[in-house]
Amino acid sequence: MTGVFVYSTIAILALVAIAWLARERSPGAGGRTRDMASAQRTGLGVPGNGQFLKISDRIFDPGDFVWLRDAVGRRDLARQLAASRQRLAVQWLRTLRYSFNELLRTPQPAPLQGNADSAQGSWELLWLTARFHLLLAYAVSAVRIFGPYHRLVPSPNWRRFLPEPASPKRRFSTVN
Amino acid sequence: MPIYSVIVGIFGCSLEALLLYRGWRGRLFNHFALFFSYLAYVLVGSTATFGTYYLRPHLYPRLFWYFFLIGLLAEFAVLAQIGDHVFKSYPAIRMLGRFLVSLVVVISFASIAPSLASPLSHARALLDLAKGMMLTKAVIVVLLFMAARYVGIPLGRNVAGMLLGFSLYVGVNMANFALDIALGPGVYGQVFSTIGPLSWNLALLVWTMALWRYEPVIPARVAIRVGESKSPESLRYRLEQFNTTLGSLLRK
Repeated sequence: MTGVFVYSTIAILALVAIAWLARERSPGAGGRTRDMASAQRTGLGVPGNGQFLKISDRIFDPGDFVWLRDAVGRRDLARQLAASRQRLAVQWLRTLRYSFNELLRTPQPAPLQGNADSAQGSWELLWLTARFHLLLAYAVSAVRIFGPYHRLVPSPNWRRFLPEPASPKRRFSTVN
Repeated sequence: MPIYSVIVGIFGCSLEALLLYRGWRGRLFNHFALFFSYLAYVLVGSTATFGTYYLRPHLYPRLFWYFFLIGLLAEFAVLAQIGDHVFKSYPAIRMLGRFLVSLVVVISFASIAPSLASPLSHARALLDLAKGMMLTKAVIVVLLFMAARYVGIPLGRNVAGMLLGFSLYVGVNMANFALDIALGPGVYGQVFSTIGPLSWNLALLVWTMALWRYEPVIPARVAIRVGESKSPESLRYRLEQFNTTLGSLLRK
């Protein structure tokens, strides 16, 4: 009887999910447009220009945070700044995803069937797409869990994970 | 054969014939060749099994199961073609449909295979196999919908209707097979033979409405920046650029 319950539940969930997903939307509408509008409202700019990348340098740079925490000694403000930068970092990554998906949505006529080179190229493009989304999912999770100032790829130098004594000279060093 | 089954069978065959006629008139055959070939197969197969039931009843069970199992396999090819159709205009994800279908089929057959080797009756083994295949198809349909939704690709009335019809058919049948296996043909046999054809007719109704005429999908509107090339090399370069931007962020 457990099997009946499991399969019936899966069937009902699949039907509900498909009915929900099948609702026709205008192209580009929905959450991604909201992401983009929100990004523009928060001043993140539009992906694809130099300013967008400069903003990412600023968001992920722990200099201000370290200065507030160590040089000024305002840990509460430093925590607020980190929380705000964390939100901005997630927003920046979402905007990057929006821009990437916009690139994916660029239509082109399908090639003639049986073209082996074209098929090979299509698989390579799919790999680049999948790789980007995997990296992005990892980056969003890491930022959400550890914050924007944590090293997203663990360093081989294990000593960097240990707390170091505060020093004004570390104004532009990394936190972790 | 009960009168109900005859009525449902004739209604189903009429809808299949109507769909094939509309597909031929509306030139939908060119776009969904496998789907309409599958419908033609079902129409011919149903008619043949009906005839066999009355003319050579002893051959009917064997013929029915052959027809049913080939149909189950053909549905995978149909889903693969629908996947190709959804993403064909978008070069970066042109192979996404085929990849998703292949991945789910490999995983599902790897999980179904051990149960087929267990000592079960033929009928039970066939029901288990059919149930597993229905589950696989339900997962494929949900994944295709989700992938299109995630990227923001419009499906269009034809493809959305085809997938919706498929989901109705596989969803209802999956629960139906599970109930038959659990309760046994003695208790559930009558209901089983009622719900199966009913779900197929329901799917046919959805397909008839969705495929009444060919409706080309208007591609998603995207902003093309000045001086931006649309060649595959340019696309590859930009995809690599995105990967590099993210990779350098991760390595900071």
